[in-house]
Amino acid sequence: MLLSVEHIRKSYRESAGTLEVLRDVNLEIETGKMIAITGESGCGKSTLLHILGLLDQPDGGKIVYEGKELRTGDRRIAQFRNRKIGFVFQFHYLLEDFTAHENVVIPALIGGMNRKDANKRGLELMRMLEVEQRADHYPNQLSGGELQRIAIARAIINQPAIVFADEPTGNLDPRHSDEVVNLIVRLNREIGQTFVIVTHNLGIAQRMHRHYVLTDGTLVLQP
Amino acid sequence: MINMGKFVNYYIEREFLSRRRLSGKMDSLYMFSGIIISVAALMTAFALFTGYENALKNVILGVNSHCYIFRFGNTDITGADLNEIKDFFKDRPEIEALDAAISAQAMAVHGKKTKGITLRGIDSANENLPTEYHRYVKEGRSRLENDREAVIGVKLMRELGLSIGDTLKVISPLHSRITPMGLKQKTARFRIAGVYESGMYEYDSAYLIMNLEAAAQFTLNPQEFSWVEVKLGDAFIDDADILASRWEDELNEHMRAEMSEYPGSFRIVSWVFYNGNLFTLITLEKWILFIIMSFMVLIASFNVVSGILTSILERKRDIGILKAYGATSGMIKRIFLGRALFMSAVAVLIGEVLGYLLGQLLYHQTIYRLKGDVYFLEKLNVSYSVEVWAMVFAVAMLIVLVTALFPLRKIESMNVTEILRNSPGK
Repeated sequence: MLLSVEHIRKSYRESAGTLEVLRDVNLEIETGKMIAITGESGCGKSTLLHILGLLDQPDGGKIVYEGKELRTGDRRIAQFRNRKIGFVFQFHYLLEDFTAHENVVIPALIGGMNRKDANKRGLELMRMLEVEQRADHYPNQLSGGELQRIAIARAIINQPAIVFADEPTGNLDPRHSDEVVNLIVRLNREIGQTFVIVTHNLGIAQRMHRHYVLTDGTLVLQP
Repeated sequence: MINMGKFVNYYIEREFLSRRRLSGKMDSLYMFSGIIISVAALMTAFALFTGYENALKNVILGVNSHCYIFRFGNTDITGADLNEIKDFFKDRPEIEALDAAISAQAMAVHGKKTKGITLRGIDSANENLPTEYHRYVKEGRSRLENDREAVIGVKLMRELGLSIGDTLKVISPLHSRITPMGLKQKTARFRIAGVYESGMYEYDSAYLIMNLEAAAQFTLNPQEFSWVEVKLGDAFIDDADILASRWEDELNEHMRAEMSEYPGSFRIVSWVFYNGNLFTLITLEKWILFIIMSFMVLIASFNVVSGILTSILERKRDIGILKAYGATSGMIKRIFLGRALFMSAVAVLIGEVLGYLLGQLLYHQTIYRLKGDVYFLEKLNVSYSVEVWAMVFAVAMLIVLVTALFPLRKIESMNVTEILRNSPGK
């Protein structure tokens, strides 16, 4: 088992009281699988994804990676996240002052890869994702589809065990949305990349290996 | 282990090379303008004080000798004493020059103008005098050909309305005598052969320098001298006080042993004894001014603090993404700190160059002059040693570094999920 979470709980304190977003979430993710999580707006999908991606700390429950329990507050968690986890967000969140290629190589450099190797790997990925010709362009010179492709390249440059994608097509038109989903499926097929995708789009969810719905703070597997 | 340096260097380098950041770089220059101006002021003030200190020291040590040998009591040094003193100092490596001198107070009269003067007798033919006499004679001759010639201080010459070749009457009230015919004034006339200009008001406005014999005749004490002047090698100037004290004991012992009739004790006084307090005061004032001016840099660095804080808030989303991809708060802090320090270093260097140019302007200008009777020197002097550049740079950078650390603490408390949740996409 690559990653499993058990009895995850998360609530937020608000002026009106405590809002319990995640009540009892259990999930197992095997290597090479694509998992979709859907649910109503505000049901806690992004919160769950952040907890799975070790960006946020649950109030209770366990996160186990390859048999070892992880805690978000651990000092070396940043290093773990850099090596094992990739993120794609609804908005590309590319650094505006950096070119597409520079954006792609940043996680590799954070991880300590030397510049020459990072640049080479970045260009290889961009070639694979068919955005190589846009390497020297800045984010504001790229289309929505290209931006998400660059964001996906950035997410996988360190060859992470899992990529968490939070509404990766939420900001795209249907044509670009299809392009991005096709790319995710292709990466899973060609390099065995594991994906956990949060989406509103049931069409996308149906193309994944497993589909969960987050409802009332728990995950329900869809047939 | 994550290698912080590679990523931090890459990030800063790319950001500075990015053509898109040009407007940001210009904004930064505005932000750092306070540093530029305050460093320029600090540099100018420090260079002015150091220049004043150096110039004063040069003039004082040029006009005066480094040590003086006197006889205790109201007794002058005789020719026999002088020979023994020369014998005592003969082979000492610390000594560069040694000679006797006469000093007396007198009145100078030219036409209807009268002024109190200091009359100095020296051996003008001696090229290796214990003072920089020959260097300071800027017009005419420094070498006096007979006992009726004198070199006059430039200010004194102007006050009395004299020029080279004119004759000046000198009266010595101390050596005037009461005779049955009434008061017989001791007077002499000297032809101005040269003009003495040391830059030090006190001397330039009072000195009338003549040959030893002329001065001795005028003061009615032939073969007697006011003191013996000693010039030290450059390496020993700062130790003059210690040497003077040691030599005083040794000289008195030597005199007792060598002279059949011990003439009484001798005293050796160094330039430090006369001017030590003045230089201590100047040094103290210089450092007080430096500290006060450093506060200006501190105030200017608050601009940098707000600039960094603004930059952190503007780049909140970037910080969130970098953290999500494993960048630690330490890495991100180093990016912001590196950028602030680089820009500060540029600003400090610009400030130093500006301060240097301002100092040069003050040095070469002729509109404003110091009051010579208050500050000894009339010309503004500046001194820019490597130490001054390094000191100003180090202090300014330290101030910026310490103040820049405060806003960087904000990065630690920035939560990735909150940033991502609240960051609108583009």
